[in-house]
Amino acid sequence: MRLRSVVLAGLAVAATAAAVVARRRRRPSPPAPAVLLGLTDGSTVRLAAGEPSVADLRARASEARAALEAVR
Amino acid sequence: MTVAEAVRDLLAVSTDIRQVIVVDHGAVLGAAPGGDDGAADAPGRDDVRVVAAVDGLWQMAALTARLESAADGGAHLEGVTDCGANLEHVVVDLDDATLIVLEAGGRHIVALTAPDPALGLALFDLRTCLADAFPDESAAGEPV
Repeated sequence: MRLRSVVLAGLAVAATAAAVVARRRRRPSPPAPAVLLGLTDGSTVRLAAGEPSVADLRARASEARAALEAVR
Repeated sequence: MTVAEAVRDLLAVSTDIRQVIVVDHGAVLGAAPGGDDGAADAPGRDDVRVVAAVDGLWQMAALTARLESAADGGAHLEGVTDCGANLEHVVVDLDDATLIVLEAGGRHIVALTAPDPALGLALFDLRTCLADAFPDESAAGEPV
């Protein structure tokens, strides 16, 4: 009887651990930033799409890309 | 090593970087399109346009960094004397590509990469390219 309780407890722990692992795997990873600014002190500023100034920065980056691709 | 050779080496080493230019105080020193076997060309007529576009992006990114830093308590504002003093690189996701601009020693290196590049590696390669192109200044300017 005691052995049975121990086995059941062990199974319950294993099931809980498996559920936690499965939930973590299902959790989506944070989206990559639309713009990343690296500072000279080693810190970074991450801006997600939709944040203020991201649209302007992307527009300027697209402009720079077009100009870059025109350079031969 | 010349700037053109450094750029050629960069394109040979990096699997993500498609195209790169080096801008030094308003002039394009070295440029190489991806898929051209790394052949670095002399500056062309589009230099002014690309320099202006990169400068515009850099200034705006620097301003954004200052504003974001100020919002975080202003710790990064100390010692900043001009608009770009605290910014080291900008990475912009363009859906089908990524644009990276990195500054070192008053120069900018601009790279167009594949989407979702190995960012740390790409930044390292860009820094190495500038250090190879300007070895004397990087040796003198690098903190030990």
